[in-house]
Amino acid sequence: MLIARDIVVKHRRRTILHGLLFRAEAGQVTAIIGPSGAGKSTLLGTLSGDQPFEGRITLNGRDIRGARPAEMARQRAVLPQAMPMAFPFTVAEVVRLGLHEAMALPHVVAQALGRVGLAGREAALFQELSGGEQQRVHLARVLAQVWAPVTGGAPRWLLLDEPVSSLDIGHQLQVMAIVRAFAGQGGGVVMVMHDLNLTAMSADSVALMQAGRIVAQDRPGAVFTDALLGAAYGCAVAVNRTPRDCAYVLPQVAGGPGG
Amino acid sequence: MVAVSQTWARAPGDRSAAARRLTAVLALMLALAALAGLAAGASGTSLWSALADLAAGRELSLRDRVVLWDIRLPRVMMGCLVGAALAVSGAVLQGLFRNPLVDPGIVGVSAGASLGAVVAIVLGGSVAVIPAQWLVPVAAFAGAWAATLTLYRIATRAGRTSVATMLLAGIALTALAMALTGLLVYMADDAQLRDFTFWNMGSLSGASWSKLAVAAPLIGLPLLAAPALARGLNGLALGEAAAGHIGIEVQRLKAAAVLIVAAATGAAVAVSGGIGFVGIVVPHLLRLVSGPDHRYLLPNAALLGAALLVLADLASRTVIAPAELPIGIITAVIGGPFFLYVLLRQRGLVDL
Amino acid sequence: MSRLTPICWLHLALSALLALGLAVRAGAEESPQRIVSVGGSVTEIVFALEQQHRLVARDTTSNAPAAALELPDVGYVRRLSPEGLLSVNPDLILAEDGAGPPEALALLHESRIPVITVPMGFDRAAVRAKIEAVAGALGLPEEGAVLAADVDAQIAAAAQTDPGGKRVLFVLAMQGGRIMAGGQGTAADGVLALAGAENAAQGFEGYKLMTDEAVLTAAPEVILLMEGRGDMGVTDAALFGHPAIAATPAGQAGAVVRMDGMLLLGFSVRTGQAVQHLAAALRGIGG
Repeated sequence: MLIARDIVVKHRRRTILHGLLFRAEAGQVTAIIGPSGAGKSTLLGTLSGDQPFEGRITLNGRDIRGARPAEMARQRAVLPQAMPMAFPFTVAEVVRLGLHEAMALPHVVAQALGRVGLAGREAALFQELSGGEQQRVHLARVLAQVWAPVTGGAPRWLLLDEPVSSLDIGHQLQVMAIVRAFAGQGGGVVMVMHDLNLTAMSADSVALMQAGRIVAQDRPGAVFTDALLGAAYGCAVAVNRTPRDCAYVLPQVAGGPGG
Repeated sequence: MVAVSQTWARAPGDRSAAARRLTAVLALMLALAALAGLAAGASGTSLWSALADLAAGRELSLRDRVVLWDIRLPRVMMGCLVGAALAVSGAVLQGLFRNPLVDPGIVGVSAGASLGAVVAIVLGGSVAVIPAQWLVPVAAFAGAWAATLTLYRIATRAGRTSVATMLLAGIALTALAMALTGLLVYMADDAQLRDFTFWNMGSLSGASWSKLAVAAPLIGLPLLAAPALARGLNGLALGEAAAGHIGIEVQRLKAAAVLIVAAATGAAVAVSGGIGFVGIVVPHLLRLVSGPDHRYLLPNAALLGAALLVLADLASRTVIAPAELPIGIITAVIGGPFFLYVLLRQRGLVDL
Repeated sequence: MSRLTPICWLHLALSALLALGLAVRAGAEESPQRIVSVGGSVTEIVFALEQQHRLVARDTTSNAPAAALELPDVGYVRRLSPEGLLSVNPDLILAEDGAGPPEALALLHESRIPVITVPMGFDRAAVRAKIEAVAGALGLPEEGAVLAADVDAQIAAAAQTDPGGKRVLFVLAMQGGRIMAGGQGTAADGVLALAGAENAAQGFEGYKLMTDEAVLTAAPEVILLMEGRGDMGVTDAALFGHPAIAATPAGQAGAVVRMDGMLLLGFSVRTGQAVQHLAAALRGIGG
């Protein structure tokens, strides 16, 4: 269980998060959605322990404030958005960065790369990969860091900031499958998402943010309504349902050919 | 543990086996360089005949003993220490700043040391507490430390050090120290000016057992501590936030890196003056050969830096013997073009 | 000096043994025969005493007389190479005051090679003292006294030829139009005083950059330069093209004197000659 209560985050004099409440269950995929500037990445960064905040965040029942980085690193891995590497590391070396020597399993690197569709690319230089490939290498690194979704009875967590932002649709689905599998084995996943349809298909719980607040957090079916999404994003949207009751969103373009 | 690392070595994309082989090669190279440094010099003293004499229980001549024991051996050892200090400091700072172009000078070490040295050279006569031959190194070390610690304090706010502030403040502080140096240079008389110019060009010719006794712990301890930073510096390549996410105590890492560099480079510059290029060229070459993994980069940099400086010193005291050329000139004259050559050949791999 | 390791003790023991051996040898030697001469003025004196056969090396500043250049060079006077010094197997280092670095001298001390320091100075008495010190070190006090008296008389004679107390500015260098002049306490100041001239550069010690206004205020009647060493020398065109110099009395009259640097500033056996030459040149300008 990951619970954040009364979270206030200020940057200089500006308040970015206004005392919000957020919760994520292990064994589930929790998505954070909302318009740009709503505070999604700030919330994820706060949950990762990156910045000072008021309030209280507990991960698996333990306060993250004052927790040592090494202790946190064993419980959760974080995938930030853009991440250029400073030196010419190989793909294998990047993936291995997340591993502690003590817990290093020899085949984790190869298996993690296999899962993100980069099997056999270990010796390539990270800097020579495409943007999408780099993002997947980092995903492999993050997966390697929390390789077993549950250890010693406690769930481990993936905190992902827009994990599919520079991927094509095939790899987007691949990453969503990885995330579902991680949650399916008892791990917890929190991810910031822009693609609403992918979110509706993949998430068990959705937190909708607007202007530094969480306006709704519930199962996708309850959050994906014309009124909630339209108000949060400030535009007209139409939410439809597939025959299997999965929501999908069509934007409404005034005067467009479909309208 | 051993089994695990052997498995790692066989994994594709893992250059640690190559890096370890390189360590062995570099150690051999350093040994040969040290031997050459002991064997060659302006005087005709032969290491081999001296060793043969010792083995046969014969006495060495006073001159041979002074040449081998008081001149060449301390110089070779000082060359090892200074070369290793400069190369490791360069690698550590480049990792800290995530930039392969950073030189130990960037944290104000060189400018501070220069200022200290010129203060000692120009105003030194009036300080009687410290014996004359110690005045310049002590002042240079104090200057290097003062500059780096000031910079660290400026860049640290609420317990977090901003690397960007450090870089910019370093430029400002360096400019200030240079201006003060210029002021003192203006006040200097002819002889003092020559002294300072020579100090600035660097030399190991002042190496003695007593200097070594002081410099060895100041340089040796930071060098021994540096490998502990390796995992942290690797993580830092991801960026500060991501380094924290994989369990690295980023602030502690930064503080340790700055202290290690200040002590090692400060002492190295204090005893040898300004020796350029080692701090940039050595880590860069090693990254091209065996990758940027600091677990191997740091020890290999120590070995290669030491070997190169011992060889450069050998050149410095034999090229125009019986006079000698300042070593800083040699490292720059050889290091500059060589670095350019490597840079142009490997253009694709150099990613800033 | 902390010598703590066992090897150091071995080292000490060895030194003691060797010192014993050396003491026995030292008794056999009368006066030094393998001398390194450090400092241009010292070397000139050794040559003037016709003892050059006893020299085995010199420093970079010893470039007169020409024969001195054939000796091996052990480096700049303040940056001597310790092993370089030992490599010529000397039994005496004869050095100007200020030679170094101290570490090199300490190693010579360790090798039981004596170092004799010759006092420096920029007046008549200093030249005398220098010659006597060098001659004493060579074991030729009588010859030294004769040479010293000779040079001193030359200087005295030259100093009496009154050139009329002209104001002279010594320009050491003129890099990028900036004038580096010789102020008080310099060899240039000393030689001007001996020649009866007045140093136009007043109010600062050593060789310093002078602003254009200070040059104008100094109002020199003559500019004194070191003779051109290739392209390093200051040409008349460059000198009188300089706006501040051009406006001084020296600039308007085109009054410039060039002399060999070592002769002019060496303060050695040729100083009498230098003063005579300088005084004559000054007399020759504008009466």
